[in-house]
This record gives sequence, C-alpha cells and structure tokens, in this order.
Amino acid sequence: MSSSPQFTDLEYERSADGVYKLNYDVRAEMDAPIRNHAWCLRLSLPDDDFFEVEALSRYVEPECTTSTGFDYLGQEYSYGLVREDHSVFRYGLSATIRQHSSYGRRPDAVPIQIFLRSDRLTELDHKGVGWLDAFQSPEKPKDPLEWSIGAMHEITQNMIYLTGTTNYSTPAGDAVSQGSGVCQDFAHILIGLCRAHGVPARYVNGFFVGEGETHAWVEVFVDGRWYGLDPTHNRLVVQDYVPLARGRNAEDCSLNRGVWSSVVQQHLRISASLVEVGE
Amino acid sequence: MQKTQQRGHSRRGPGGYVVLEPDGGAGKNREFKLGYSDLDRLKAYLNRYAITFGLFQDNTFQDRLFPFGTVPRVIGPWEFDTLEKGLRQRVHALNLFLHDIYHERKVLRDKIVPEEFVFSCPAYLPEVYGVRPPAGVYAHLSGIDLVQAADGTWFILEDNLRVPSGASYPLIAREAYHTVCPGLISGMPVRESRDYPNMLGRVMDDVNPGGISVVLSPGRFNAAFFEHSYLAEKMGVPLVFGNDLEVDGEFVYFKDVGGHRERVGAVYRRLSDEYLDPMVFEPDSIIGVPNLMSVYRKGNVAVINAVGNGIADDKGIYYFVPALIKYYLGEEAILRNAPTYLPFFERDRKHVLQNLHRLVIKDVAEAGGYGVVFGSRLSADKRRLLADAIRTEPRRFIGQEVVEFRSLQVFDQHRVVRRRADLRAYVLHGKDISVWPSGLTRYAMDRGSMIVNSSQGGGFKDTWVLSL
Repeated sequence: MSSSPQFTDLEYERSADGVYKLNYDVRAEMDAPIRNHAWCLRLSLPDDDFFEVEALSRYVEPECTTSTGFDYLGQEYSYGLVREDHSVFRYGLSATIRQHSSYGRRPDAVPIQIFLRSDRLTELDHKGVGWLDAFQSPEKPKDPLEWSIGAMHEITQNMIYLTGTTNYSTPAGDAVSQGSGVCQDFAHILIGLCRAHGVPARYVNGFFVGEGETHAWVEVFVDGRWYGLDPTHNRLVVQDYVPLARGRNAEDCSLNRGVWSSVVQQHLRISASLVEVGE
Repeated sequence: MQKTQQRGHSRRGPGGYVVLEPDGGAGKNREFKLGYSDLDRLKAYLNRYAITFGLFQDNTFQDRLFPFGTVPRVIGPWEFDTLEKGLRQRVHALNLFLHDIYHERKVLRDKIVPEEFVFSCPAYLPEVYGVRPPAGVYAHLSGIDLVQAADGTWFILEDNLRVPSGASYPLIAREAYHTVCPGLISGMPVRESRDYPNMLGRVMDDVNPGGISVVLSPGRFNAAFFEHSYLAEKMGVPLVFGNDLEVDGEFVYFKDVGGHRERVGAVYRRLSDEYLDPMVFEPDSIIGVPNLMSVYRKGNVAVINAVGNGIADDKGIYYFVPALIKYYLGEEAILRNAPTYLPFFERDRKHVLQNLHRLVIKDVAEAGGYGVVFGSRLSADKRRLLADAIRTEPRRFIGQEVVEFRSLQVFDQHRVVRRRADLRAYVLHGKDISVWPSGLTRYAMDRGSMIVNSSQGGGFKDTWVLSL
C-alpha cells in the first residue's frame, strides 16, 4: 500500500503523462469438465480523454466465437459460448496505456440519478457503529467533494483491511459492523455514505499500480464531473489507476460472468500487474 | 338492489333462467337469457376441466381451483366502444412515456412527472437506457384493470405492463360455452373472442426482426404455467424454457430436440425482467437466457413485453397517467383514474392523513392485492402507525377514494347473488393498438368483499361484448 498524500492542497490537474504496461490473466480451473458455457467478460480498456491504448492483445480460451456488446454506460464487453467440454477457461489482456493525468470525468448519457439509488450492496445499516454515527450529519454537505474525501478518511481510519472476512456479496452494512473488509467493501461503504448524503457515487473495477489482483474504487459526481476516490488507499485517483468497468456496485461491474449447466467447483487464479514504464 | 335481484331470476326451478344485464344496455329492447340447466352443465364441465392456478404460500406450492362464475359479464356495444377508445389512448400514451423515459426524458424536464418518481423506482432499469426495442413497441400486451362504479362510470384501477396474465381463463370459458351449449351463444350477438392467440401472434409478427416466435416460460411451477402452454399451443409456436434457447454471436436460437437450430425473432416471455438474463440481471437465475440482453440491445430480438416496463405501471406513476395522455397526445383522458392522492405532495399528504379512516392506502411496491389497506378497517393504533409510515416515507404510498363498485350476477346453487367484480382488459400493441373484445372478469367470493384477486380466493367469469 502506498502512503497517503496530503489533502490540504488538492491538486486536481496534473500535467505529467504516464505510460503503463498492463498484464491481466485469469485461469479458471473446474474440477470436472463443463459444456455449453455462456460467458460475458469485461476486457475493454477505456480509450478516452484520459487514456490512450497504444498496444492491446486479448484472449479467451478455449477458442470460440466472440461478440462485442455495449452496456448502459457505453462500456464495451465481450460475450460468447463454449459448447464443447472444457475444464479450463482462461482469458486476459496485455496492453500499453498512456495516461493523461487530469482529474474529473465528464458524465455519460445515462441519468446521474441512478447513482443515488441505494441497493442491497451499498445500503448502510450501521446502527451502533460509533464512528459512522459521529461522522454523519443530516445536512447536505456544502462542498460535496471535500465532504466525500472526509468520508474516505473516516473509512480508512476506522476500517481494517482484512481478506477472508467478507465475500463478493457482503453488503456494506455488514462490513461496517465487523469493522473489516477488502477494497470492494471499502468502496461500497463510501458509495453508501455518499448516496445517503445526496452525492451520486459509483463503483469502479480495475487495476492499481503494482502486482496482485484487480482493485476497486469509487467515483463521486460533483459539479458535473466524476472524481475518483480510493478508500482502500485513502487517496485521490489521479494516476496509477486503470479502470475496466464502472457501475452501481460490485455486481454491476463484475468482470466475468458465466453460466453452464452442471455443478462444479471452480478455482480462480488471477494475476494482474500494472507497471509504469515511463515516457 | 332488491328489485334488480328479482330481475336476475325471472323464473326459478328446473326451467328457470337468468336474464343477463349488459353494461350500457344491449339496445333494441333485446333480452338475453341463460337457462339454469345450461349453467349447471357449464359448471360441471369446467369442474371436470379443472382450471387451476398455482399459488406459492407458506413455502409450499399449491394448485388451487380457480372458481368459475357461469353467468358472463356482458358489455353492450356502445359501452365497449368507449372503453376501447379510452384503453387505446391510455396504452398509446404509456408506450410513448416508456420511450421518452429511456431516451430524451422530456417529460421530466417539462416537469410533468417529478424525477423522484422515476429514478428512485427500482423498476427503472438503466440496463435498457437508450435501447430502442424493435418497431419502437414497449407495451405489446397490457392488462388494464378497471372497475365500474354503481352509477356505471368506469375507473382505471391499475395498469399492468410487465407480464400481465389471465387471458386464457375467459378463452377457456368461451370454448366451454360453445362446447356445452353450442346453440346458445351462437344465437346471440356476442363478439368472437377466440382469436386472441391470433391477435397476440400478429403483434409478435409485427415486431419480429427475423426468425420464429416462441413463448418462454419459467417452468411448470409458475402460477400461470397452464396459460403459457395453452397460448403456445393455440398460437402454434414452441413453448420453451431458458435452456432451450441459446445466444450465439448476434442472434438468439431455439434448439429443438433433434439438435436443429433456428433463429428466434420474438420472445413472448412469461418471466420477469430480473430473471431474464443472468449476465445482466440476477446472476443466479437459472430460468433465463444468458446474453439475451446483448442481442436485445442490438435490436435483433423482440422481447414481449419490453424490458424495463415496470416503471410505467408503478402505482406512483399511475397518478400521472391522465397528465401523460394530455402531454403526449394532446387529448383529455377518456377513462378516469380512481381519485388518487400522492402523499409525496404536501397538500395531498394532509388530505390523506386527515381522511385515513375512509381512504384505501396502497404500498406502491406491492402487487396482487397485497399491501392494500382500507383505512376504515384499522384500529386507532394501527391507523396511527400507518400515518407515521406515510409521514416518514411519503413516496411509498398512494391514497385512493374507495370506489363503491358495481356488483355482478353470480349464479350460486340455483340462486343469483351479487358480488363485486373488476375487469382486466387486454390491449395489444403491434403496428396498431387494439383491444381484445373480451377480458377477464374477476369477482369477490364473499358478499361485500372488494378483494377480487385470485391469489386471495376470487373467482372469474367470461366477458361478453355485444355487437350491434
């Protein structure tokens, strides 16, 4: 984990570009062969004001017809069908990405208000958790971005990052009650807090600089722009992050969904690395 | 009331008959009778046929007999003409609303409907934002629930634009009339209703971008499985379950038993949005079709009804439908809403809280007769609790005047009794909008009761529309 920057002097605009090398590989091993496996993967990197994808290769194995679709935020995804028996499903991408570091994304076409609606994963039922009660106030924050950053601080100070204490479907309220979780939970808590205070907030799934797995953070909508906040690392998402999927919550942003017709155990091996390679 | 009852059975005994009472009059001094012996034979026939619906209650699946009222509701030609115009107008406006709300959202910018009523509603699905369904049709099949007040005025009670069911019941009843007493109905100027499956099939053809049509059922444990199989058979299209369909590339296909594949262009789905595609909605759904939404977003398959329709039949949106008709069509609503108050608006909230003892309060999130509370039947304590709930969550409730609706004749052990009844009218929207000249009439089992839902013990009747 990196050290927290100072927030007394918020630096939204940065001039330096960064060039990153990204490698992402997922290998799903089934303990028995599966067939008629329908899949849906998010393997598309953003190509917008912030990122230029300079080299990209993607793969899905076993080989099968692959189609492209676009979700409600205009994000590209891939889907397909593997008919024959297979025990290993593997996919990934590698890319070189140039990042133009600036802060604040323009909104998409979809109504912003849907990012105010509470849902099962982000709803905060936090009765009896002192730090949240103390932090919350019924008033709408005057400076929502400053307020959201404050909320991020609170989460970092009061929650412990601990794997194995939550799972992919743990609601924010449960993570708060036990005081621990992983990046997904931290993001859900911040989203829940923001929405409860009238600040539209959404979930981002992607990569953070370094080696490991995928990472999750939050974007809040203030004065017509989306600003990234990472409650796990307690920092603004200015550089060193590459998003892969945005949505209302973790379920909305799952990178891999699959359906097949038998009951098997699945073992996932995920490796992700995002390395800055300089100009 | 006493007088009407006597009119209902002019003669008793084995040779007795019931004189039908057409809504709005039959015209030309026409009178129509149904003999007791015919009614007895009909009842026996339909009991043998055993019309049931499934009910999931107390964690078990029960097959319940759907009680059949042998005396049909009869609607006169002029009365139906008005209903038809009003229903077509309403569905036309709701379809335009659905397009607008998933595209430009002009209706919100022009402040016809407050934003909160759309965006805070879980039925507003961002997943279909910007998607134009084939032929621009959202509300292919609407089930519009109406009641008639004692003075004959029709009121719209509820719109159902998701997966409205029930049309098969009057269809079966109609077939029974023809089978059991063939001379009877053909001797009366009753409009033919048995081409409903053709009407529905035509709607599917109208919006089908290429391929066959299918009926997609969640399975035999669904409350309306009987209807799924009945309609599929009558339409002559395959009845399929989720795993009979597969998405490959840009299209969805039906796999038949022989392993042959055929492209599907229209899916009359009888499962709700959240189970339709596990890749987009409920990930654990095993009754849906993986990646169906990808094909749908590309306009390569019509889903009937469209995905995301729930926002149009939300009980909160209902309040605004007359305004929507004015806004989109520039016309006054032909059919009235039951007088409704939205606690969301402060003035309405005051009215609702002051008149709680005589209003009916509905929870907008509930359906099927659940979440409906008559203020008059609540104890003072309960009423206070309800008032608190309305103050805390005004958006969650609507308040309605109790419509003292008309009772219809029900033939019960050689007596004609009166029971309150509503009407579900079926409106079909393909290239044109038309109203099925029949409908499902549901009646309350008990005297004085206003709850007609089959899940709460109500029975059904056929609905006869007279021609001139």
